[in-house]
Amino acid sequence: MKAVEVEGLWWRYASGRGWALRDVSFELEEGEMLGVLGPSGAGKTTLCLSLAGVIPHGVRGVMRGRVRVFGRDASKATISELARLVGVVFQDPDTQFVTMRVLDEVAFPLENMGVEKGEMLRRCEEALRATGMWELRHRYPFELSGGQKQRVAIAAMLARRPKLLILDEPTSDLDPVGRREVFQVLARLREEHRVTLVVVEHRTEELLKHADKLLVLRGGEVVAYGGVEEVLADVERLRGAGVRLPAAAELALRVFGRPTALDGRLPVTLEEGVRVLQAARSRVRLRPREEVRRVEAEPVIRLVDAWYVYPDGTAALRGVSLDVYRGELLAVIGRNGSGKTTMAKLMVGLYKPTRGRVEILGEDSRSLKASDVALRVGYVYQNPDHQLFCETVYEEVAYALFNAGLPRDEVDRRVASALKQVHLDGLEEERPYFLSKGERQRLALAVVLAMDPEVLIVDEPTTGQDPAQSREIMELLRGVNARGKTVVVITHDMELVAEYASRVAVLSEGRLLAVGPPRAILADEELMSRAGLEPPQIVELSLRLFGQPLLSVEEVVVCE
Amino acid sequence: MERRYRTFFLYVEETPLLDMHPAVKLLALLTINLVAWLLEAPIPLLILLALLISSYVLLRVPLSRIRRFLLYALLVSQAVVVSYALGSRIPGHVVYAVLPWGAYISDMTLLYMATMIMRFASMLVGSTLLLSAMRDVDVIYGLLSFKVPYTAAFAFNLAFRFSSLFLDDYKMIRDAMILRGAKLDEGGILQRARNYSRMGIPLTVIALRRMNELSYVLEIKGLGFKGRRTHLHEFRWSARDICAVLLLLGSLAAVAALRLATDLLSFPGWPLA
Repeated sequence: MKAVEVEGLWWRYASGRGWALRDVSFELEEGEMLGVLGPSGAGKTTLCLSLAGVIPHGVRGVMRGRVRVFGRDASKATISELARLVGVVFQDPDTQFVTMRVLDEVAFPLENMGVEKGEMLRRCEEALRATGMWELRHRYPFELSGGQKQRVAIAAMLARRPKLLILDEPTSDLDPVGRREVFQVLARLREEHRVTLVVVEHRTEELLKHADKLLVLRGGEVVAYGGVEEVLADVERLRGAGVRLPAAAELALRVFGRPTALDGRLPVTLEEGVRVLQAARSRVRLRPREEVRRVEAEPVIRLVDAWYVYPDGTAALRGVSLDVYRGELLAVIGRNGSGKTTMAKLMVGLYKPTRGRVEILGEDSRSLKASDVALRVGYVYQNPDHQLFCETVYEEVAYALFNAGLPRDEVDRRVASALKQVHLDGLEEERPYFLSKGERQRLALAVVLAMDPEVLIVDEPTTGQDPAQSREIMELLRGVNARGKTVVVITHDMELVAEYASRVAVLSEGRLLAVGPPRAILADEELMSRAGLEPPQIVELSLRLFGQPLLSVEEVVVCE
Repeated sequence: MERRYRTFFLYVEETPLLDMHPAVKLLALLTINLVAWLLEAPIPLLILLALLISSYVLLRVPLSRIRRFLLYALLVSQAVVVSYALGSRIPGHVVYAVLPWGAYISDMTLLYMATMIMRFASMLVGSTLLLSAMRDVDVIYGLLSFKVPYTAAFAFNLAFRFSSLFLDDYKMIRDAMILRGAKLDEGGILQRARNYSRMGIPLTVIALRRMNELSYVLEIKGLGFKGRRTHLHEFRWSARDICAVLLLLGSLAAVAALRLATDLLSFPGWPLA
């Protein structure tokens, strides 16, 4: 029996203007794993909701075509019938938790299904053991790391013993280790429980390693569908849909030109990359980009043995000493909960150190009000919705400028310039909340750019963004940096760190482990492992192939 | 990742209250608040407050728990003082001031103010004590014991959980406004109200987005399933629970009877009357 059969599926939300899905068709055998790729707004989440029966049962709209899950027509079966077959894990584990204890969370769906207590406990134990969370069953979910939270969310679905498990960007909020943990659990589920999986992801490295089939969507339409090798063979089509390939694949394409030169099989894992590219080492020359060197630049922000202890006694930052130099692009990396955001809030004067000292542009932060620092040090929130509160895009960008008492014509000039930089010009009269997530993120950036601060601190600017949007944001920050501004970026995306940062600071459990140029930091295996991080694939691959770390595939030149 | 506020359900592991039946905890919460509401006499209220504070020690709940709500207590006390100072006419032995609109401040006005503040403080201290021993399952199972439908009990519990996320959002938005040069706490009351009113937009939008996502999650987790629901937790009534219920109901009945039938608990009450 087929696990999933989707035939000519069209869906339009009652509140939407166009079709969110257009003639989508695909099939999935029991025990297979389907990777769903595509840019933001491609219809990936809508597809997940259709497979779970939430569409059309729980959402109003127009549906055409058919979705069958293990032989049951999703539009005719009740949600409770489908819920016994299908589990869904969403992107944000915090929103998914409805109870206050790991065990309760996993038991909750079983209680709703009327499973007897003894059986319930057996299933909870099985699911928590399968996800490696049994030992933490009495913990509060919100005390767990990002990866652990997502594993609990998976366990909560798994305990119902669904035959189909759908995961909608389950790792986008996670650090590299958290991501790997989630995929390891998924691999075990397939192996031991023969669960059929549908996984939506932007990052291809882990997905391509595990998936049997790929479905690429764009604008609600299927751009490519088939076995992994088959889909990867048409690289141009994938790139057209904004799919970012793993570094091993990109490097192989750079060296060999086309997938056909590789018998149609692109390497996606580190091992495959090493195997395929080993023989071609003599055909390439390395041209590492020059590291940006600080020429006696002055520090704009200084943390001197800075501590921050929250009112409940949690020490989020423990004696961090760090200088941020004028004109650099500093990346701050670390696992979820390592103290990155707390440090950023100290840097903008929102928090005052509970011990030690923070100097912002030469002044002790204790003597400064955050609202007074605002025009000189800008801070962009991870979630743009926390930062947007005006009626129109224009007002949003102009708000701080009017607060600073700038004359109207200067405000207009700055608003126009900032919106142009983020490609939102022409949308001045739009309501910020009607913009797409990518646009809202760019607007949040424009708000701070218009203030023309000397230092720009950006918290996880690429979380939840597709690869093209992430790159666009980073290019924008690079442009700002090139104009002499200091940029501090907090991120989990190691590839972007490698490509864009001039210096990297590594935090772990509130302590600064190291700070230095990206090549040295990312290639330091012991440091990365101590911080619970993983270097980007290109660094590992180049170390194995050439014995020296590269930060991007562009650093490899093919000899003719 | 942004640090989140924890919920009201950060219970104290060491307190023996934790082992009580959830229905008893809810009944105690209700009783303490009702008793405080019934008492109008300052000295009995003072005794209640003292009893509640000593219960913290007896039940091994740190007094620092109250600190979280101290600011709200101060704000409410401020409001009580202002409203009684400006708008009451309570006869007393000494009149300190007569206001142009006829209201006046007497020694009894001051005593009444103190009484109201103690009433509020008793409610706050008593509720905090019980919430320190309350897990989310206690709220749900406590309400179920009072025959509240499961979905309603669950929704009530979710409101508690999401109130902490709401506070978290509020703080982040407030910080974001400050970082754009907003002087939120400057100007008169109207100006401040205008400053803060902007927060309504993002708070509403975020809450709606979260509710939307939550509705999918609950749908998928089967909250709306028809048929019998089972429970992971089982709470049995012990002799201690039954004694506690009898004590609580007895106290409530006694206070209500004394308040209705005598002047002992009415203002100024025993022993001042």
